[in-house]
Amino acid sequence: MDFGDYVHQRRPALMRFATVLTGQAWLADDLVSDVLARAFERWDHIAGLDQPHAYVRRMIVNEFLSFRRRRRRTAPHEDVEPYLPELGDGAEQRAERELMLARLSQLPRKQRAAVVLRYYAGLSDAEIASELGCRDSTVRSQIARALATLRLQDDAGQPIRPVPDRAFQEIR
Amino acid sequence: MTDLRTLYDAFEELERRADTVSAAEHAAAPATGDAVRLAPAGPRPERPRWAAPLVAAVALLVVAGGGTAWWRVSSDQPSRTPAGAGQLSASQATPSSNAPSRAATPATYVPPHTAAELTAKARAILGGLASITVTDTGTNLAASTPPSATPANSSAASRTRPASPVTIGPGPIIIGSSPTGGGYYDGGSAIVGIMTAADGTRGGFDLDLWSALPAGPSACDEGEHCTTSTEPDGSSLSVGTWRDPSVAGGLTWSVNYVRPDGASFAVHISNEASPKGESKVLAPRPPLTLTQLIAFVRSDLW
Repeated sequence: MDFGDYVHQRRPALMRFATVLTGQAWLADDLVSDVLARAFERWDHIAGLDQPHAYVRRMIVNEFLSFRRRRRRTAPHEDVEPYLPELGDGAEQRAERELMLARLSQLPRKQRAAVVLRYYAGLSDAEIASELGCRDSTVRSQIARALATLRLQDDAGQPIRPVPDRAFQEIR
Repeated sequence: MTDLRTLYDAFEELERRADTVSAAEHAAAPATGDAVRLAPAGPRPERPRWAAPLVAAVALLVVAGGGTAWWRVSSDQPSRTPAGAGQLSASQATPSSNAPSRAATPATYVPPHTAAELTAKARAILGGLASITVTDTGTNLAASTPPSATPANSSAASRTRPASPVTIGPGPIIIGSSPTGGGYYDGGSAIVGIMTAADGTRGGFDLDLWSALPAGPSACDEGEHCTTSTEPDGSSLSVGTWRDPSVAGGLTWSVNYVRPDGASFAVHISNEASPKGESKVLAPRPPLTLTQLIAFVRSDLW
Protein backbone atom coordinates (compact mmCIF):
# COMPACT_ATOMS: atom_id res chain seq x y z
CA MET A 1 0.00 0.00 0.00
CA ASP A 2 1.44 3.34 -0.94
CA PHE A 3 1.27 6.28 1.36
CA GLY A 4 -1.50 8.05 -0.51
CA ASP A 5 -3.74 4.98 -0.32
CA TYR A 6 -3.03 4.63 3.36
CA VAL A 7 -3.97 8.20 4.13
CA HIS A 8 -6.99 7.92 1.91
CA GLN A 9 -8.25 4.89 3.80
CA ARG A 10 -7.06 5.50 7.30
CA ARG A 11 -7.02 9.17 8.10
CA PRO A 12 -10.65 9.29 9.31
CA ALA A 13 -10.01 6.37 11.65
CA LEU A 14 -6.81 7.98 12.90
CA MET A 15 -8.69 11.23 13.49
CA ARG A 16 -11.32 9.44 15.54
CA PHE A 17 -8.74 7.56 17.55
CA ALA A 18 -6.74 10.70 18.19
CA THR A 19 -9.83 12.65 19.18
CA VAL A 20 -10.90 9.98 21.64
CA LEU A 21 -7.36 9.99 22.95
CA THR A 22 -6.95 13.73 23.31
CA GLY A 23 -10.56 14.75 23.86
CA GLN A 24 -10.16 17.65 21.45
CA ALA A 25 -10.73 17.39 17.74
CA TRP A 26 -8.56 20.34 16.80
CA LEU A 27 -5.65 18.91 18.74
CA ALA A 28 -6.25 15.49 17.23
CA ASP A 29 -6.16 16.98 13.75
CA ASP A 30 -2.90 18.68 14.53
CA LEU A 31 -1.48 15.52 16.03
CA VAL A 32 -2.56 13.27 13.16
CA SER A 33 -1.19 15.67 10.57
CA ASP A 34 2.19 15.79 12.26
CA VAL A 35 2.32 12.04 12.70
CA LEU A 36 1.41 11.43 9.06
CA ALA A 37 4.07 13.87 8.00
CA ARG A 38 6.65 11.87 9.93
CA ALA A 39 5.23 8.60 8.69
CA PHE A 40 5.60 9.87 5.13
CA GLU A 41 9.30 10.27 5.64
CA ARG A 42 9.63 6.66 6.80
CA TRP A 43 6.90 5.08 4.75
CA ASP A 44 9.16 2.60 3.01
CA HIS A 45 9.96 1.11 6.40
CA ILE A 46 6.43 1.37 7.83
CA ALA A 47 4.76 -0.14 4.76
CA GLY A 48 6.96 -3.19 5.13
CA LEU A 49 5.74 -3.92 8.66
CA ASP A 50 3.13 -6.55 9.40
CA GLN A 51 0.73 -3.96 10.79
CA PRO A 52 1.50 -0.49 9.45
CA HIS A 53 -1.65 0.92 10.98
CA ALA A 54 -0.72 -0.30 14.43
CA TYR A 55 2.63 1.36 14.02
CA VAL A 56 1.09 4.68 13.06
CA ARG A 57 -1.39 4.39 15.92
CA ARG A 58 1.53 3.91 18.27
CA MET A 59 3.12 7.03 16.85
CA ILE A 60 -0.06 8.89 17.73
CA VAL A 61 -0.04 7.53 21.27
CA ASN A 62 3.59 8.55 21.69
CA GLU A 63 2.81 11.99 20.37
CA PHE A 64 -0.09 12.27 22.78
CA LEU A 65 2.11 11.27 25.68
CA SER A 66 4.52 14.07 24.75
CA PHE A 67 1.68 16.53 25.02
CA ARG A 68 3.63 19.00 27.10
CA ARG A 69 6.04 19.62 24.29
CA ARG A 70 3.18 20.15 21.90
CA ARG A 71 1.38 22.65 24.09
CA ARG A 72 4.33 24.96 24.01
CA ARG A 73 3.92 25.58 20.32
CA THR A 74 0.16 25.56 19.97
CA ALA A 75 -2.52 27.86 21.19
CA PRO A 76 -5.80 26.77 22.77
CA HIS A 77 -8.71 26.55 20.37
CA GLU A 78 -12.37 26.55 20.88
CA ASP A 79 -13.43 23.03 20.15
CA VAL A 80 -15.87 22.34 17.36
CA GLU A 81 -19.21 21.25 18.67
CA PRO A 82 -21.36 19.56 16.04
CA TYR A 83 -24.98 20.53 15.85
CA LEU A 84 -26.88 17.40 16.65
CA PRO A 85 -30.58 17.95 17.18
CA GLU A 86 -31.77 15.83 20.04
CA LEU A 87 -34.96 13.92 19.50
CA GLY A 88 -36.99 12.94 22.48
CA ASP A 89 -35.68 13.95 25.83
CA GLY A 90 -32.31 12.28 26.11
CA ALA A 91 -31.29 14.95 28.57
CA GLU A 92 -30.16 12.49 31.19
CA GLN A 93 -28.08 10.50 28.74
CA ARG A 94 -26.51 13.67 27.40
CA ALA A 95 -25.73 14.88 30.88
CA GLU A 96 -24.09 11.57 31.76
CA ARG A 97 -22.07 11.70 28.58
CA GLU A 98 -20.86 15.22 29.25
CA LEU A 99 -19.95 14.24 32.78
CA MET A 100 -18.00 11.30 31.45
CA LEU A 101 -16.18 13.54 28.97
CA ALA A 102 -15.27 15.86 31.81
CA ARG A 103 -13.95 12.97 33.88
CA LEU A 104 -11.99 11.64 30.93
CA SER A 105 -10.33 15.01 30.54
CA GLN A 106 -9.18 14.83 34.16
CA LEU A 107 -7.28 11.59 33.67
CA PRO A 108 -3.51 11.69 33.49
CA ARG A 109 -2.43 11.09 29.92
CA LYS A 110 -1.08 7.61 30.48
CA GLN A 111 -4.23 6.50 32.28
CA ARG A 112 -6.37 7.94 29.52
CA ALA A 113 -4.28 6.24 26.87
CA ALA A 114 -4.65 2.92 28.68
CA VAL A 115 -8.42 3.30 28.93
CA VAL A 116 -8.75 4.28 25.28
CA LEU A 117 -6.55 1.45 24.11
CA ARG A 118 -8.55 -1.10 26.09
CA TYR A 119 -12.13 0.12 25.70
CA TYR A 120 -11.92 1.88 22.36
CA ALA A 121 -9.20 0.04 20.47
CA GLY A 122 -9.93 -3.26 22.22
CA LEU A 123 -6.32 -4.14 22.96
CA SER A 124 -5.22 -6.64 25.56
CA ASP A 125 -3.13 -5.59 28.53
CA ALA A 126 -0.04 -7.04 26.90
CA GLU A 127 -0.64 -5.03 23.77
CA ILE A 128 -1.32 -1.88 25.77
CA ALA A 129 1.86 -2.46 27.74
CA SER A 130 3.76 -2.71 24.49
CA GLU A 131 2.19 0.48 23.19
CA LEU A 132 2.87 2.42 26.37
CA GLY A 133 6.25 0.89 27.09
CA CYS A 134 5.40 -0.43 30.51
CA ARG A 135 4.61 -3.70 32.27
CA ASP A 136 1.27 -5.49 32.12
CA SER A 137 0.78 -4.95 35.84
CA THR A 138 1.30 -1.24 35.34
CA VAL A 139 -1.39 -1.21 32.68
CA ARG A 140 -3.82 -2.90 35.02
CA SER A 141 -3.11 -0.48 37.83
CA GLN A 142 -3.39 2.50 35.48
CA ILE A 143 -6.75 1.30 34.23
CA ALA A 144 -7.99 0.52 37.73
CA ARG A 145 -7.14 4.05 38.85
CA ALA A 146 -8.74 5.50 35.75
CA LEU A 147 -11.96 3.56 36.26
CA ALA A 148 -12.12 4.81 39.81
CA THR A 149 -11.81 8.39 38.55
CA LEU A 150 -14.43 7.73 35.91
CA ARG A 151 -16.63 6.17 38.58
CA LEU A 152 -17.45 3.27 36.35
CA GLN A 153 -19.33 0.26 37.50
CA ASP A 154 -20.84 -2.67 35.73
CA ASP A 155 -24.54 -3.29 35.26
CA ALA A 156 -24.69 -5.36 38.41
CA GLY A 157 -23.73 -2.34 40.43
CA GLN A 158 -20.29 -3.64 41.21
CA PRO A 159 -17.16 -1.67 40.38
CA ILE A 160 -15.36 -3.05 37.35
CA ARG A 161 -12.55 -5.33 38.36
CA PRO A 162 -9.71 -6.55 36.25
CA VAL A 163 -10.51 -9.85 34.57
CA PRO A 164 -8.38 -12.83 35.61
CA ASP A 165 -4.79 -12.74 34.52
CA ARG A 166 -5.23 -15.68 32.19
CA ALA A 167 -7.44 -13.55 30.01
CA PHE A 168 -4.54 -11.23 29.45
CA GLN A 169 -1.95 -13.70 28.29
CA GLU A 170 -0.25 -12.46 25.21
CA ILE A 171 -1.45 -14.01 22.01
CA ARG A 172 1.18 -16.22 20.50
CA MET B 1 -21.40 5.65 39.71
CA THR B 2 -22.28 4.94 36.13
CA ASP B 3 -21.90 2.10 33.67
CA LEU B 4 -19.57 1.31 30.82
CA ARG B 5 -22.14 2.33 28.26
CA THR B 6 -21.61 5.95 29.24
CA LEU B 7 -17.95 5.59 28.38
CA TYR B 8 -18.88 4.27 24.94
CA ASP B 9 -21.31 7.18 24.54
CA ALA B 10 -18.47 9.56 25.34
CA PHE B 11 -16.27 7.86 22.76
CA GLU B 12 -19.01 8.14 20.16
CA GLU B 13 -19.44 11.82 20.91
CA LEU B 14 -15.72 12.36 20.43
CA GLU B 15 -15.91 10.44 17.15
CA ARG B 16 -18.66 12.79 16.01
CA ARG B 17 -16.43 15.75 16.79
CA ALA B 18 -13.59 14.15 14.88
CA ASP B 19 -15.86 13.59 11.89
CA THR B 20 -17.01 17.19 12.03
CA VAL B 21 -13.45 18.42 11.78
CA SER B 22 -12.66 15.92 9.03
CA ALA B 23 -15.72 16.99 7.07
CA ALA B 24 -14.98 20.68 7.54
CA GLU B 25 -11.40 20.14 6.49
CA HIS B 26 -12.47 18.18 3.45
CA ALA B 27 -15.04 20.76 2.43
CA ALA B 28 -12.60 23.62 2.80
CA ALA B 29 -9.73 22.06 0.93
CA PRO B 30 -10.82 22.49 -2.71
CA ALA B 31 -12.05 26.04 -2.23
CA THR B 32 -9.15 27.41 -0.27
CA GLY B 33 -6.30 25.21 -1.29
CA ASP B 34 -5.43 24.95 2.37
CA ALA B 35 -6.03 21.28 2.84
CA VAL B 36 -4.52 21.26 6.28
CA ARG B 37 -6.90 23.67 7.92
CA LEU B 38 -7.17 22.61 11.53
CA ALA B 39 -9.94 24.64 13.05
CA PRO B 40 -12.63 26.85 11.63
CA ALA B 41 -12.02 29.76 13.96
CA GLY B 42 -9.39 31.23 16.15
CA PRO B 43 -5.66 31.50 15.71
CA ARG B 44 -4.06 28.73 13.76
CA PRO B 45 -1.38 26.88 15.69
CA GLU B 46 2.08 27.27 14.35
CA ARG B 47 3.35 24.14 12.71
CA PRO B 48 7.01 23.31 12.31
CA ARG B 49 8.23 24.63 8.99
CA TRP B 50 9.50 21.25 7.89
CA ALA B 51 6.14 19.63 8.43
CA ALA B 52 3.91 22.00 6.50
CA PRO B 53 4.77 20.96 2.94
CA LEU B 54 4.56 17.31 3.82
CA VAL B 55 1.24 17.63 5.57
CA ALA B 56 -0.17 19.64 2.70
CA ALA B 57 1.01 16.96 0.31
CA VAL B 58 -0.59 14.30 2.46
CA ALA B 59 -3.92 16.06 2.58
CA LEU B 60 -3.87 16.87 -1.10
CA LEU B 61 -3.15 13.26 -1.86
CA VAL B 62 -6.24 12.37 0.08
CA VAL B 63 -8.37 14.89 -1.74
CA ALA B 64 -6.96 13.98 -5.14
CA GLY B 65 -7.41 10.32 -4.39
CA GLY B 66 -11.14 10.59 -4.15
CA GLY B 67 -12.09 11.97 -0.81
CA THR B 68 -15.61 10.68 -1.06
CA ALA B 69 -14.52 7.43 0.49
CA TRP B 70 -13.86 9.18 3.76
CA TRP B 71 -16.38 11.90 3.34
CA ARG B 72 -18.37 11.85 6.50
CA VAL B 73 -21.99 10.94 6.12
CA SER B 74 -23.95 13.95 7.19
CA SER B 75 -25.85 13.44 10.39
CA ASP B 76 -29.05 14.83 8.92
CA GLN B 77 -28.65 13.31 5.48
CA PRO B 78 -27.66 9.70 5.96
CA SER B 79 -26.44 8.09 2.80
CA ARG B 80 -28.44 5.19 1.47
CA THR B 81 -25.98 4.21 -1.19
CA PRO B 82 -23.69 1.24 -0.76
CA ALA B 83 -20.69 3.49 -1.24
CA GLY B 84 -21.69 5.61 1.71
CA ALA B 85 -22.97 2.71 3.66
CA GLY B 86 -19.53 1.46 4.48
CA GLN B 87 -18.76 4.54 6.49
CA LEU B 88 -20.09 3.45 9.85
CA SER B 89 -19.81 6.94 11.16
CA ALA B 90 -20.58 7.88 14.68
CA SER B 91 -23.47 9.90 13.37
CA GLN B 92 -25.10 6.68 12.32
CA ALA B 93 -24.46 5.34 15.75
CA THR B 94 -26.54 7.98 17.40
CA PRO B 95 -30.22 7.70 18.07
CA SER B 96 -30.71 11.27 16.94
CA SER B 97 -29.39 10.57 13.47
CA ASN B 98 -31.30 7.37 13.08
CA ALA B 99 -34.61 8.60 14.30
CA PRO B 100 -35.71 10.60 11.25
CA SER B 101 -35.31 7.64 8.92
CA ARG B 102 -36.74 5.34 11.56
CA ALA B 103 -39.95 7.31 11.45
CA ALA B 104 -40.38 6.30 7.81
CA THR B 105 -40.01 2.57 8.45
CA PRO B 106 -43.05 0.30 8.61
CA ALA B 107 -44.70 -0.26 11.93
CA THR B 108 -43.58 -3.86 11.88
CA TYR B 109 -40.13 -4.69 10.62
CA VAL B 110 -39.87 -7.40 7.99
CA PRO B 111 -36.46 -9.04 8.26
CA PRO B 112 -34.54 -10.65 5.40
CA HIS B 113 -35.88 -14.14 4.85
CA THR B 114 -32.85 -15.61 3.16
CA ALA B 115 -29.24 -15.73 4.16
CA ALA B 116 -28.33 -14.29 0.76
CA GLU B 117 -30.47 -11.24 1.39
CA LEU B 118 -29.11 -10.82 4.89
CA THR B 119 -25.55 -11.20 3.61
CA ALA B 120 -26.12 -8.62 0.90
CA LYS B 121 -27.46 -6.11 3.41
CA ALA B 122 -24.59 -6.74 5.80
CA ARG B 123 -22.06 -6.28 3.01
CA ALA B 124 -23.71 -3.08 1.83
CA ILE B 125 -23.63 -1.63 5.33
CA LEU B 126 -20.06 -2.69 5.98
CA GLY B 127 -18.94 -1.32 2.62
CA GLY B 128 -15.18 -1.01 2.55
CA LEU B 129 -14.86 -1.32 6.30
CA ALA B 130 -14.78 -5.11 6.26
CA SER B 131 -15.68 -8.08 4.14
CA ILE B 132 -17.47 -11.23 5.22
CA THR B 133 -17.27 -14.84 4.18
CA VAL B 134 -20.37 -16.80 5.14
CA THR B 135 -19.83 -20.37 6.23
CA ASP B 136 -23.21 -21.27 7.75
CA THR B 137 -26.66 -19.94 7.15
CA GLY B 138 -30.17 -20.59 8.30
CA THR B 139 -33.26 -19.30 9.97
CA ASN B 140 -33.54 -19.22 13.68
CA LEU B 141 -30.01 -20.48 13.67
CA ALA B 142 -28.38 -21.22 16.97
CA ALA B 143 -25.53 -19.17 15.63
CA SER B 144 -25.00 -17.14 18.71
CA THR B 145 -25.13 -19.99 21.14
CA PRO B 146 -21.78 -20.70 22.72
CA PRO B 147 -20.68 -24.31 23.05
CA SER B 148 -22.79 -26.50 25.22
CA ALA B 149 -19.65 -27.22 27.17
CA THR B 150 -19.83 -23.69 28.52
CA PRO B 151 -23.42 -23.31 29.58
CA ALA B 152 -22.54 -20.33 31.70
CA ASN B 153 -22.02 -18.42 28.50
CA SER B 154 -25.17 -19.39 26.69
CA SER B 155 -26.48 -16.48 24.73
CA ALA B 156 -29.45 -14.32 25.38
CA ALA B 157 -30.75 -15.15 21.94
CA SER B 158 -30.93 -18.81 22.78
CA ARG B 159 -32.71 -18.03 26.00
CA THR B 160 -35.22 -15.54 24.71
CA ARG B 161 -36.03 -16.90 21.29
CA PRO B 162 -38.57 -19.67 20.69
CA ALA B 163 -37.26 -23.18 20.76
CA SER B 164 -38.16 -23.88 17.15
CA PRO B 165 -36.17 -26.20 14.88
CA VAL B 166 -32.58 -25.24 14.34
CA THR B 167 -31.64 -25.47 10.72
CA ILE B 168 -28.48 -25.03 8.75
CA GLY B 169 -29.05 -23.92 5.22
CA PRO B 170 -32.43 -22.94 3.79
CA GLY B 171 -34.91 -23.69 6.48
CA PRO B 172 -38.40 -22.95 7.63
CA ILE B 173 -39.33 -19.33 7.95
CA ILE B 174 -41.48 -18.86 10.98
CA ILE B 175 -44.01 -16.12 10.63
CA GLY B 176 -46.97 -15.75 12.89
CA SER B 177 -47.76 -15.79 16.52
CA SER B 178 -44.91 -16.06 18.91
CA PRO B 179 -44.64 -19.46 20.54
CA THR B 180 -44.07 -17.58 23.75
CA GLY B 181 -47.63 -16.35 23.58
CA GLY B 182 -49.33 -13.66 21.51
CA GLY B 183 -47.68 -11.02 19.43
CA TYR B 184 -45.93 -11.38 16.13
CA TYR B 185 -42.85 -13.36 15.26
CA ASP B 186 -40.84 -13.64 12.06
CA GLY B 187 -37.80 -15.89 12.24
CA GLY B 188 -35.84 -13.86 9.70
CA SER B 189 -32.45 -15.28 8.87
CA ALA B 190 -28.97 -15.73 10.24
CA ILE B 191 -25.44 -16.07 8.97
CA VAL B 192 -22.17 -17.23 10.46
CA GLY B 193 -18.71 -16.76 9.04
CA ILE B 194 -15.45 -14.90 9.04
CA MET B 195 -15.13 -11.14 8.88
CA THR B 196 -12.00 -9.49 7.54
CA ALA B 197 -11.39 -5.83 8.26
CA ALA B 198 -9.76 -3.53 5.73
CA ASP B 199 -6.48 -3.86 7.62
CA GLY B 200 -6.60 -7.64 7.38
CA THR B 201 -7.79 -8.31 10.93
CA ARG B 202 -9.89 -11.47 10.86
CA GLY B 203 -12.38 -12.98 13.24
CA GLY B 204 -15.50 -15.07 13.45
CA PHE B 205 -18.90 -13.48 13.51
CA ASP B 206 -22.54 -14.39 13.63
CA LEU B 207 -25.52 -12.25 12.79
CA ASP B 208 -29.09 -13.12 13.57
CA LEU B 209 -31.89 -10.81 12.49
CA TRP B 210 -35.53 -11.45 13.18
CA SER B 211 -38.66 -9.54 14.07
CA ALA B 212 -40.86 -9.86 17.14
CA LEU B 213 -43.66 -7.80 18.56
CA PRO B 214 -44.25 -6.59 21.10
CA ALA B 215 -40.64 -5.54 21.16
CA GLY B 216 -39.10 -6.55 24.43
CA PRO B 217 -35.93 -5.24 25.97
CA SER B 218 -32.64 -6.51 24.61
CA ALA B 219 -30.80 -8.99 26.74
CA CYS B 220 -27.22 -9.66 27.64
CA ASP B 221 -25.50 -12.95 27.04
CA GLU B 222 -24.78 -14.84 30.20
CA GLY B 223 -21.25 -14.86 31.49
CA GLU B 224 -20.15 -11.65 29.84
CA HIS B 225 -19.66 -8.14 31.08
CA CYS B 226 -22.63 -6.34 29.61
CA THR B 227 -24.63 -3.17 29.88
CA THR B 228 -28.13 -2.48 28.64
CA SER B 229 -29.50 0.91 27.80
CA THR B 230 -32.70 2.31 26.35
CA GLU B 231 -32.31 4.78 23.52
CA PRO B 232 -34.43 7.92 23.25
CA ASP B 233 -36.34 6.38 20.34
CA GLY B 234 -37.26 3.40 22.50
CA SER B 235 -34.71 0.97 21.10
CA SER B 236 -32.98 -1.28 23.57
CA LEU B 237 -29.27 -1.94 23.28
CA SER B 238 -27.15 -4.46 25.13
CA VAL B 239 -23.41 -4.37 24.63
CA GLY B 240 -21.27 -7.15 26.02
CA THR B 241 -17.68 -8.29 26.25
CA TRP B 242 -16.79 -11.91 26.75
CA ARG B 243 -13.28 -13.18 27.30
CA ASP B 244 -13.09 -16.83 26.44
CA PRO B 245 -11.92 -18.60 29.60
CA SER B 246 -10.64 -21.54 27.60
CA VAL B 247 -8.58 -19.65 25.03
CA ALA B 248 -5.88 -17.18 25.99
CA GLY B 249 -6.64 -13.85 24.42
CA GLY B 250 -10.02 -14.96 23.09
CA LEU B 251 -12.30 -11.95 23.00
CA THR B 252 -15.86 -11.71 21.73
CA TRP B 253 -18.04 -8.65 21.58
CA SER B 254 -21.79 -8.93 21.43
CA VAL B 255 -24.53 -6.51 20.59
CA ASN B 256 -28.18 -7.30 21.08
CA TYR B 257 -30.42 -4.61 19.73
CA VAL B 258 -34.22 -4.42 19.67
CA ARG B 259 -36.00 -1.65 17.83
CA PRO B 260 -39.55 -0.50 18.53
CA ASP B 261 -40.63 -1.88 15.14
CA GLY B 262 -39.66 -5.36 16.28
CA ALA B 263 -36.35 -5.64 14.45
CA SER B 264 -34.14 -7.75 16.68
CA PHE B 265 -30.44 -8.14 16.17
CA ALA B 266 -28.06 -10.54 17.85
CA VAL B 267 -24.54 -10.15 16.58
CA HIS B 268 -21.26 -11.46 17.89
CA ILE B 269 -17.82 -10.70 16.61
CA SER B 270 -14.67 -12.29 17.87
CA ASN B 271 -10.95 -12.49 17.37
CA GLU B 272 -11.40 -16.24 17.37
CA ALA B 273 -12.41 -18.29 14.35
CA SER B 274 -15.74 -18.93 16.02
CA PRO B 275 -17.64 -16.34 18.02
CA LYS B 276 -18.77 -19.23 20.18
CA GLY B 277 -15.25 -19.51 21.51
CA GLU B 278 -13.01 -22.52 22.00
CA SER B 279 -11.39 -21.94 18.63
CA LYS B 280 -8.20 -20.58 17.14
CA VAL B 281 -7.32 -16.97 17.81
CA LEU B 282 -6.94 -15.22 14.45
CA ALA B 283 -6.05 -11.70 15.54
CA PRO B 284 -5.29 -9.66 18.64
CA ARG B 285 -8.78 -8.17 18.55
CA PRO B 286 -12.06 -8.54 16.69
CA PRO B 287 -12.20 -7.03 13.19
CA LEU B 288 -14.62 -4.29 14.25
CA THR B 289 -14.53 -2.06 17.28
CA LEU B 290 -17.51 -2.08 19.58
CA THR B 291 -18.47 1.35 18.34
CA GLN B 292 -18.40 0.12 14.76
CA LEU B 293 -20.43 -2.91 15.75
CA ILE B 294 -23.08 -0.72 17.36
CA ALA B 295 -23.17 1.52 14.31
CA PHE B 296 -23.56 -1.61 12.19
CA VAL B 297 -26.78 -2.71 13.87
CA ARG B 298 -28.06 0.84 14.09
CA SER B 299 -27.70 1.44 10.37
CA ASP B 300 -30.87 2.61 8.67
CA LEU B 301 -30.08 0.34 5.73
CA TRP B 302 -31.46 -2.75 7.44
